[in-house]
Amino acid sequence: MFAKLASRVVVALLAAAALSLLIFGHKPTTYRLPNGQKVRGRTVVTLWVGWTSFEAAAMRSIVNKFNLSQKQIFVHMVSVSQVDTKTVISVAGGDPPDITELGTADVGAFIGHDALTSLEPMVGAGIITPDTFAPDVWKACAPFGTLYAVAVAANPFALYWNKRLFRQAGLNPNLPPKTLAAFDADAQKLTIIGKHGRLIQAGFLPPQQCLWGIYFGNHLYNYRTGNFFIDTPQQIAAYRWFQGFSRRLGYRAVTIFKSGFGQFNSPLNPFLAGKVAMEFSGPYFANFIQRNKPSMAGHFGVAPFPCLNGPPGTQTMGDFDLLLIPRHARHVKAAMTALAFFIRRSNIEELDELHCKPSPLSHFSRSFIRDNPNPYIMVFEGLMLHHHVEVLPPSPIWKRVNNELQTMAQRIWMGAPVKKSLSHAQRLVNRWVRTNKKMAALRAQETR
Amino acid sequence: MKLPQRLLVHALLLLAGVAYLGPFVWMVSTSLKKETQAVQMPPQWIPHPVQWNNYVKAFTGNSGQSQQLVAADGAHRTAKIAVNPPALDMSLYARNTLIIALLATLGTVLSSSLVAYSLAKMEWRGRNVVFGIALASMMVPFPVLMVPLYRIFREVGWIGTNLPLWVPAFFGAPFFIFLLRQFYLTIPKELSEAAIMDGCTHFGIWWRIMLPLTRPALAVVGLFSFMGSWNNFLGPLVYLTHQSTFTLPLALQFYQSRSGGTTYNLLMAASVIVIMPILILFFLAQKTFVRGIATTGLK
Repeated sequence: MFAKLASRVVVALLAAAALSLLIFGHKPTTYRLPNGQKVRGRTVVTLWVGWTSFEAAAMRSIVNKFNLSQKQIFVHMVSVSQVDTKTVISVAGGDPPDITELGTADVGAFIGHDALTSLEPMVGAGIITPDTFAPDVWKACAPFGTLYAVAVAANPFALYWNKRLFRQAGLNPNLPPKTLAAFDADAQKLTIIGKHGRLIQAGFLPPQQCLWGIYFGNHLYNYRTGNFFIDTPQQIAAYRWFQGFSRRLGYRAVTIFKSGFGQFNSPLNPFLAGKVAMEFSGPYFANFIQRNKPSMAGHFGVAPFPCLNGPPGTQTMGDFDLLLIPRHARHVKAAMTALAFFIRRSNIEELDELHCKPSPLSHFSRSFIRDNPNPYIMVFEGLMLHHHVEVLPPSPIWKRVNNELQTMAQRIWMGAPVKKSLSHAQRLVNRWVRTNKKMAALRAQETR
Repeated sequence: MKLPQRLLVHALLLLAGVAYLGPFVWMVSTSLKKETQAVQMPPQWIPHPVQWNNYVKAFTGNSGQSQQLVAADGAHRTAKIAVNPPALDMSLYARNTLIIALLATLGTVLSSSLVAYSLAKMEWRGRNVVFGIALASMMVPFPVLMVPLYRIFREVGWIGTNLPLWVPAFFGAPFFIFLLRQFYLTIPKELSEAAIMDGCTHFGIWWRIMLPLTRPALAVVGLFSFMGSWNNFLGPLVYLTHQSTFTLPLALQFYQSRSGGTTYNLLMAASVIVIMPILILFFLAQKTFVRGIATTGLK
């Protein structure tokens, strides 16, 4: 009798689970317009963005405008912080969104795996031309000639300097260094070393990134052949300059000094804490300064980073926020209609104004500069329009190469010979490039 | 143990306790601070004035991230369009999380104990091989399974629903199967033999004898399963495609922005709200839980 009862209980539990499946297991299919009206009979385009909080709200404002202007299409926007992970899995799993938002570093891998839809029909229809965007943006959107993405925001890198510390060091707080030699001299003046070689304040501590060669005239990636230029004379000069900071200040002293730094997004950020006088960052850094140390307003400046050849900012590194249509997206035509709307100048400017970033377009309005909350927006716009912005290489193996270059930079920082380290990295990366080309050829053969 | 030794042990344990408690205290303390105090250095451990309002803001989903910068000349500039993020429906996210966690726990406890009973108490050919396969499947990391699972769920039309997050729980969890099997093995065979003599079926033995005897172990399985499901970030991130179906771990991301910083005080208040049910559950089931851990040998 008990067994009967037991089986009844279990059956009841399983029935409850089955009922839950019916009640909770459905996919929400009701969409509403911002005015509360239900959406009926429209093509629903899914848009995934990696922006959250106010950044997502800014995009939602544009999406709402699109949805209200439309009778045929409805854009359903989902905001998730790790949109790259979500997109990769959904593309590999065969159920991608119609539009997704990614950074320039991700595009190469997607193109390499044939995971994107070409946006050439938009070029054919005259909606987008190379002149739509600022000079180097097109290269990020169409790295190998075919348009795969549209840029909606830009992050060119620049030099931030602490005016208070400049003043204290006897430097003109309104005159940032214009050449690399002046930069090094200023950095040295801004460095304070205490007893026993203890570092108290650093003029500049170069981040261990892989694109320093840009400022010495190197182009890391060959778009035509897919090869990397790691051990060029320009790279050697760049990494000797980079290693110079570690040599002058002492690797051990810098390590101890860095151990006192807090997170980037905190008042213990070395630039905000007044421990480092100059910083290399993008337009978003102004947001972090405002959030974590509002008292710094008016006491920091932003200028193009000096270059070895030519005036500051002749070349700089940058990144763009891109919108793309993954391969096998269900509503490609409708997605393109939405993209065409999003990249209208008024919409891009609204989005970037709210993000405090420069526009990726070739033209901007006066009101965009006037109303942009970033006090140094004009510096970044200047970089976008008049200088060479080098983006992260759109290579399918970029992430792997980047890891190796970071390790290489770390070794050089610790005192390894520059030329030897670069040559070693070059040999390794060459091998990966060759393997990748073979794999790509095999994939192409299989597809045929 | 002599008194000085005992004092030393207690002092060390106390120190370890403080070290473990530190992050939790910081979280609660930060959740009651103003935004500027939250990131102040050195940290202010006791919030003053206490901002109870943070909890209201966190629950009503005000992420506090309006965008406003101060120009170089010190004058405030604000964007011409207000971009206060829309309020987050935290109660909806809490409900979604609770439904998924409860169903996943129910499924895990039922299926794992049934499978474990079969592996421990029933004689059938190949059971050790099956057990070995179940153990081996534990060694496969989730990222490896993500794409194949995604494809399966796509085929059955479950992407965008919460089904992938709890239905698989009804097919057993290898770790819990292992845990319960070991527990069942410690129960004398004579009990089930006597029950069989009395005409009880295996199902009856499992329900009438095994489940009451393994209550502490089931509590451990239930609590671990609930916690895992409640805190799961990757699963909902991958499978959910509608904001209205999001869970609490996904909702916490709305207090951060990619290039505008984090409102730590509200994030911490929301985090306290998120972990509160787990804490309450733990304290309520503490006795059974500790007994379960002690008897299953779980470390």
